[in-house]
Amino acid sequence: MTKKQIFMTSAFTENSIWRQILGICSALAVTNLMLNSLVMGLGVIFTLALSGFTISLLRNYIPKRIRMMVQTLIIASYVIIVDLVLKAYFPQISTALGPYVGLIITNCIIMGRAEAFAGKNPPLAAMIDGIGAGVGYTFVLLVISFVRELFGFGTLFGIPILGDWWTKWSIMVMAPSAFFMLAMLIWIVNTKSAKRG
Amino acid sequence: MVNKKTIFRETRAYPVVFMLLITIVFVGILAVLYQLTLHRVQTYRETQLKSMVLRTFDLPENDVEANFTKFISLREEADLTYYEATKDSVLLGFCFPISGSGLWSTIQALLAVTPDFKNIIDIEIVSQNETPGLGGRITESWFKAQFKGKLLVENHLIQQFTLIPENDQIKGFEINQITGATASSKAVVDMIYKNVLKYSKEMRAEL
Amino acid sequence: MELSAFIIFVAAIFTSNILLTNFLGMCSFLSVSREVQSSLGLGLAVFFVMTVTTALNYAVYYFILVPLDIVYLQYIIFIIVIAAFVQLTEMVVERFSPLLYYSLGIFLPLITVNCAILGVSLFMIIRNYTFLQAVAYGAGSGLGWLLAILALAGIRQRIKEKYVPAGLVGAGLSLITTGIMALAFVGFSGIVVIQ
Repeated sequence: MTKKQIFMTSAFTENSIWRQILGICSALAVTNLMLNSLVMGLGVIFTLALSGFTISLLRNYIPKRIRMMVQTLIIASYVIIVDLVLKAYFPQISTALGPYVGLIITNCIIMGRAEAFAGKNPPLAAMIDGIGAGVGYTFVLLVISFVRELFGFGTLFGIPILGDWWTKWSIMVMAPSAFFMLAMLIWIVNTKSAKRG
Repeated sequence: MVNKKTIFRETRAYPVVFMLLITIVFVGILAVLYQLTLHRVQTYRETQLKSMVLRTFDLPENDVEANFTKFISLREEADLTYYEATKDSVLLGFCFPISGSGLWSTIQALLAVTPDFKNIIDIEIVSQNETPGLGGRITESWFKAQFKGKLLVENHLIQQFTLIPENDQIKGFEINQITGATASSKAVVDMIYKNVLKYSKEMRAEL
Repeated sequence: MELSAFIIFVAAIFTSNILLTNFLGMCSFLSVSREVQSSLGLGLAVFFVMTVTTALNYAVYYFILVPLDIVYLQYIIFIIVIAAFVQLTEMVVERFSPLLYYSLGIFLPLITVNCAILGVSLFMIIRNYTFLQAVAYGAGSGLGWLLAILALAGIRQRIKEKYVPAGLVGAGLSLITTGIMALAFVGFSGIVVIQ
């Protein structure tokens, strides 16, 4: 596969969220604000790219029995790097994302890509696949948070869009709305791809 | 050479050795990064705190270090730690670091009061981990602004504030709570009461 | 106001359900909830692991990480503790009850990457719980997760025979169902000292 093909597949055709239903946890948790989604997305892209690269580099040396533990260690290390960098250079965002940064580790997407792609492909391809998956993930997060932030707070990226006349939909701030938004997104995508069929 | 390597890779010891090696490498990298960023993180925290102290007294925050040294002095006595603010030789008031149990976490704040403990000057929430969008709203400016200049004392006694619904008119010792976040709002009010009571006694204020 | 361990326990099941309010543990939740039997099995396993690892991680954090000033490694250490404990449980179960192992065994590796388990340990630290509160929180969250997955499995089995628009089959419908459950659970927020 060409590099572009790898990217497009992992980002859109085989999108982690709407196609593989992975990485839902954080997709629901941080989508109350667009800024949080963007930062989370960037963190995931970073972790996916580097862990994919590293795991692919080591793929012929990792013993089968401890495969999962080694992958988890590598992924966790990159996540801690993200966490340390956020705490040092973007403290407010670090506080807002709270424990969800740490939860990138158990984000099924990362483990999923490591198992499905990085373990069997050369490093550069694995890195591109990782970036693609991350971009696809970020895209979904931004779409959901666009709706949630706009109707829940009247703002986008903190910039007020809807004036004071808008009664904020508290439900958008709370948990259930994320489930509904994601379900609708999946519905739209599935219906569209079925039509293209 | 190739044979030796393959045989080692299949021994029992290999996974253990591999795991150890890779753990050391990664933990090593992390330790280094942690040390490098440590200073920065600590400096940030200190600057944040100082800037918040200045904010409670409505003092300029632009040049935090300079202004802090100019207007604020840290007092550490027996078991009391607090900040004293002076401007143009006039004592503006005291700022106490206070904390209390919120619904989900410990809420930490800075409470500034007038030297006679009769009024609150301002309050700043330093850290909290309440429900985002609900209890987390205690950091919103409208909520904190309610405490600005609020009277604390009646009949020489510290009064406890009572909570009333968000959009109602407040009178006297009332505070508008956050809709859907009664517990967090109450936590803030209780925390203020307990600490003002404690500090006014320790500093022997004449109410 | 101090929260007693019991209140935290009840709140973790209903008003602050780790899955319906904090969105953790979704992946295995969505894939396994097709049948009530397997959901019960996974749910119980999660409950067990969650309770014990929360207690373990509490001890590790306060007796090892803090004194040695390596708190920033907590993610790695917690996950290793969880993975090790799951591995240990797997070995013990396989040794003493092959029957239980065959019905439960497949779920155990799945649990290691269940974000809910790591999440509970992380939240417990952030919220400064005492040991008793932490265990109550772990147990309550486990029960809450079990409750949610059982409910979803039951609903999915009922829906199987009904008409569903093509685009929604599977994940889409599960998410909407879960969303409605989440809404319903919001109604519980009156039970515990309200937030």
